[in-house]
Amino acid sequence: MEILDLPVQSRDKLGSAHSRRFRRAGRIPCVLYGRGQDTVSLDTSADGFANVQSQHAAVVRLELDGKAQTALIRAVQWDPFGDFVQHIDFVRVEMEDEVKLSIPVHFTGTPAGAVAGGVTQAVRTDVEVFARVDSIPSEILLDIEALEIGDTIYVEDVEYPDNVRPASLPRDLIVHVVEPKKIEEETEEELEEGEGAAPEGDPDAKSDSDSDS
Amino acid sequence: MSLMPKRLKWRKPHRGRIKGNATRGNTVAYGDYGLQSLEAGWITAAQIEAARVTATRALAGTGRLYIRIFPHKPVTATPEETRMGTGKGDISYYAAVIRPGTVLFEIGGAEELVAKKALNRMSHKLPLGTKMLRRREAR
Repeated sequence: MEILDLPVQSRDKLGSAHSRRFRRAGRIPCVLYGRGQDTVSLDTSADGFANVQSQHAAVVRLELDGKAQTALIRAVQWDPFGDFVQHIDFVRVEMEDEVKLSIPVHFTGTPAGAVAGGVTQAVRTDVEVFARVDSIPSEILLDIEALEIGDTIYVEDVEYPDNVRPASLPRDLIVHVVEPKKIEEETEEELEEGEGAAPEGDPDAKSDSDSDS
Repeated sequence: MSLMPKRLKWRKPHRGRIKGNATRGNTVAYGDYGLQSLEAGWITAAQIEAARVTATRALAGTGRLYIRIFPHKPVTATPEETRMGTGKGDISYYAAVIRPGTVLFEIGGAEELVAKKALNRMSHKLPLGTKMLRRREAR
């Protein structure tokens, strides 16, 4: 995975009010910590970070006051509508460090079981791995073309690149092909049966009929 | 059958106010696509059920539907032609209280076009403005 450069500035204005002002000006408040060194508050441009995200980068080279620092993107906070990045956590790393992170899993091919009428269920869309910083894969590609109905792929079945090992349990399910579920349309009678059942209320409370009289 | 609570601590709670955006339940967690509310309001159990039925039909056996909301709130109504002063009405229906940003439904394991069609049809059954969301990848 290519390591992208991300220019950052140190930030001395802290707190939610200042952070809001940064966001309004097209900047994203960030923080850098790790390796026993002091925590530093930073900010970066929203456009620059959007470029990093579009390339699915896990590690960036932060350019701070003329010095370069390799950092892992540990956490990204989004606004409630998922449109804008609110805050980023960076962790200092060196190229030979081993880090724990989630890698997205992508599937190739249509399973033979799906062609025969089965349903492909991707239970996990990412896998937690321990990886060396210089060997972090951008994705894990799984060829699922040979899967028949009832076949499964577990975390232990995946071939990982060099310097990458799984952090999830070996028998964690990633994808399987199952029999299709039959659609059961509810009849009118079944719907009416459900209407009558009232939930159990407060036992001490007076009934509605009492209060209406 | 419409969703309803199994038991209630209080029979007739106050209506309350809906303040702020959703700080939880605002990301696609289980499926690949989600329907996110853009407004605050109540979604009744009947509306949730109507959306579920239309999604089941639109998905036609493919994929899986996840309902992320539940109608916890009992809502009372006074019967028609009732004179003033007869007290608070009976429980009429149950509603889910929705803040802007709440992910209402999710669909997993379906083709994008099928999922979009299902979510679009579901949005027509709801009283709030919605938008479609895609699951955010690990990176």
